Amino acid sequence: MRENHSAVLRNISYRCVRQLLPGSRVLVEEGARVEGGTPIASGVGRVHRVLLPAELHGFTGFRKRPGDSVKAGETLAVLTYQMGFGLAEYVCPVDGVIEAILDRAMVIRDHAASWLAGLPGVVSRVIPDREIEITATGHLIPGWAGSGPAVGGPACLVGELYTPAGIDRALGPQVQGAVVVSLTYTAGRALELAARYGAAALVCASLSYAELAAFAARSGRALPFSLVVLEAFGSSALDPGVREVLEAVRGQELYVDGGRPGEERPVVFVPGERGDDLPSSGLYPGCRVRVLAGAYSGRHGEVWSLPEAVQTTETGYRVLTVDVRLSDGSTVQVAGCNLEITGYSLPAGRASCSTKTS
Amino acid sequence: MPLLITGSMHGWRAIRYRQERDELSVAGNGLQVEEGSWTRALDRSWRPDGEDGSGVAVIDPLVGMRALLAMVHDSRNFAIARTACQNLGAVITGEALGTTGLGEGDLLDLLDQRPFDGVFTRPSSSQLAALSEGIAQQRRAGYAREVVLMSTAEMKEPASIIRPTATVDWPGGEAVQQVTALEQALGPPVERLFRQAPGVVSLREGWVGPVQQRARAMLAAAHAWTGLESGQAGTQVQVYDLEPGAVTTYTVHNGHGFRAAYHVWGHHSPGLAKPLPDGVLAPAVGLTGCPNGSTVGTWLPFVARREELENEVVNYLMRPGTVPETWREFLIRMALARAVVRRAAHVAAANQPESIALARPRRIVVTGGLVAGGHEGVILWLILDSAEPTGVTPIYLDPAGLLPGLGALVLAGRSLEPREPHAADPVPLLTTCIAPVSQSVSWEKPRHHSLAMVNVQVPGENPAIFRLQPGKLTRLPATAGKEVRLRLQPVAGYDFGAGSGRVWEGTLPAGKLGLVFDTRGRPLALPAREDARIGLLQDWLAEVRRACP
Repeated sequence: MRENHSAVLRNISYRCVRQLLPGSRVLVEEGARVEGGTPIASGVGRVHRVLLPAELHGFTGFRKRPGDSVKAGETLAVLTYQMGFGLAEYVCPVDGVIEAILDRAMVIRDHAASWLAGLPGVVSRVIPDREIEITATGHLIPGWAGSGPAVGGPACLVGELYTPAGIDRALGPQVQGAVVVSLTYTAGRALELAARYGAAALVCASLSYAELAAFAARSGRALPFSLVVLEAFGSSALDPGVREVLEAVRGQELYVDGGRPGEERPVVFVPGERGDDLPSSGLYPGCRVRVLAGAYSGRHGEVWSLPEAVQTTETGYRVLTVDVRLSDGSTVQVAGCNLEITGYSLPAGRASCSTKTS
Repeated sequence: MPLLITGSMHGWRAIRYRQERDELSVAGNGLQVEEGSWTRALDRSWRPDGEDGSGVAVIDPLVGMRALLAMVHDSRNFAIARTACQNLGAVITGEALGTTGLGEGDLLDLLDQRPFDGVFTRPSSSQLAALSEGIAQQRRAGYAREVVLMSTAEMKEPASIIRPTATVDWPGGEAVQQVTALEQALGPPVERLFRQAPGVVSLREGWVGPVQQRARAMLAAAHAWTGLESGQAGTQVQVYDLEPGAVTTYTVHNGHGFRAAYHVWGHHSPGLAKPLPDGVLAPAVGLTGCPNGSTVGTWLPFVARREELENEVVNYLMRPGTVPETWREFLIRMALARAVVRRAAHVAAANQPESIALARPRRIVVTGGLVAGGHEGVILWLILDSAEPTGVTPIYLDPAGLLPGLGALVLAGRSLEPREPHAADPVPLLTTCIAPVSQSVSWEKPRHHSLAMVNVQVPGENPAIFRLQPGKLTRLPATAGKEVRLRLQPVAGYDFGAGSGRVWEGTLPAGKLGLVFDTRGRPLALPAREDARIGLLQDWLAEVRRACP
């Protein structure tokens, strides 16, 4: 029964969308089989803007002209103020070419990049200038929070990452380009070392938000690797079903997507041999959920029955409650709006859960 | 005309609103949505031809809950939205669309499914582009009828894609009949919206349009509901739009409107995957070193470990569309709201004219997801601590989040007068707060002197005469809607709105929670010692919980 309650969607068919920039060249056709490292498109480069202050308007302290090649960190413009005692330098954020100098900004186009498939599968849809959809089979693990682009890499399963000695022992040059998978609460120092040794992604059960914020503040706006927190911020333990799947992935290719604000949730995908299409509809008995708030916050379970009446919480909210069967076998009532659907049972599982027995 | 109303907040907000008024059992011309039957109603509604053979489905906000769950919490579940579009005439989603994983292509597909009457959403920028194109197609085909526009802060340019026009109207009598059925099904205040503006579907979420548009609508509605005349000097109305981790204030001052927004994430991102982090979180969540009580921990009536609290707050902000089921969660959310409002005021003070920053509003209206539902006494406490009203200030609560929609109608020149004389007020008066304009309280050395002598006369009851003492939060129950005669005789040096030491006398309508006397200090400053602060907060919590048992 664990499988039914777990947050893992086993043996499913997963459609991964790689978004393209306008003007990029598609290198694959629909139906083509791709591996994680297969280039699927080449881009025209992304546009970056370096905003300049109003005082710079008409100022001739530009160090670059349109058409110049620039490297990240090179000085683009210099502003002196306070009679020459103050000096501000504006530097280039990426390697690329100066495309234009506007009144209040310099426009830089970075060098063309290639899009890799990221995971093995079949190209199922190509929309030029917009996206390439790759259908893969395997296990999908929805995350709680994430950051960073979709990346693929060999899984580097580490032990505990919460004591300094354990972190130093686990993270070294061997994690370069790998997806570091921590099955426990992960301390902030692990973030530092994962960045230092060039990990492609870090997947962990839980993380202290304060430590993440401190690390992000030190490393700039973007994290140097993709991150997926599977359970929650804090010290939540990993769902047993997820642990079981992740323990088996050592050395295997993993696909990690930090999610996009407002669009996609972060996910970890473990490519496998078999996959079935998911039934896709709303909340129904048998679908898997995560409890988002209330006394059972953070627990996983499955919907046992849908609400028939409205109940009032002790805090005065009138809500429709849903019976949820938690992973320990107990059935509890949770406000419907406090549930997050993490997956749908496959038809067989769905049928087995259609009757409430407790 | 089939209709689906849903939304991450709107769904349950509307449900609650209607349940409070015992309007849950409704009979429409199509499906009947009655208490306990929403799943059946939904099952029938998803099919174009319902079991009753009418083929007309009225999907109620109540049923929208299921769509909410599917659309908001399952970012990949595009199929349900597509099904809704195939079977229903209108899709109105709130934040749901912003939080679904619908890409541009999906959205175009969705809009292409069949004619719709309005799309009501707070889209992300990429979705917006697709939405624009889809709506343009619909309009070219003559499908889209009339849509009220409501702007969000993110939109900088006037909408060119959604415009109500005189030439676009309901096509014929059949549609009007269906609208009538819809009105009957939905009840006030939604009924009122549809009655006065058939085809106008906009309740509260963001729309495309100039920035001022939504602010104007909010302020217009606030004016309309609070009965103020425009053109008055001073600050007439202050609207607080409270959302998880965010506040937007709208102020009418000397006939001009001002808007100030603040979000702990630095921008509004209703998505499930938050950008992590952009450097504003740690100070903005306010667990350390923020001035003027703008820290979450300051407002908690219990001891909480800083790191745990921060994790709880961030986890909540990651999934903001949830309902607090425990008191701990509820109080943390209310504490976060206080911290955010105070920090917003701190930020706004630097950017607004001083006359506005220091202005004393004559009316306060509170709306937004945070105050939709929940214990009204605790919500009142939040408002008092956040807005710190002074003098005699009516406080209105918008539990169904209808203010922008109503305001849009006001701006369109439509009357908000109810069709039925005793129709429930969509934006009811919660209470009238009476507080001194300026008062310092020493919590370490409490004094028990009198601030004022109060004489309250509730019709049909004996007059209540008592002294106001400092450091108290006192509620005087009264039947909502009744006129209460109040006479305040301040002692020398205290001002309750009429001037220092001058008598304030007048008649006030009692709100749902009666009258509230707040003498805890202006500005409100909590004791520095943690045990003393927690003790006080617990006392006040007990007082406000008594307001709504």
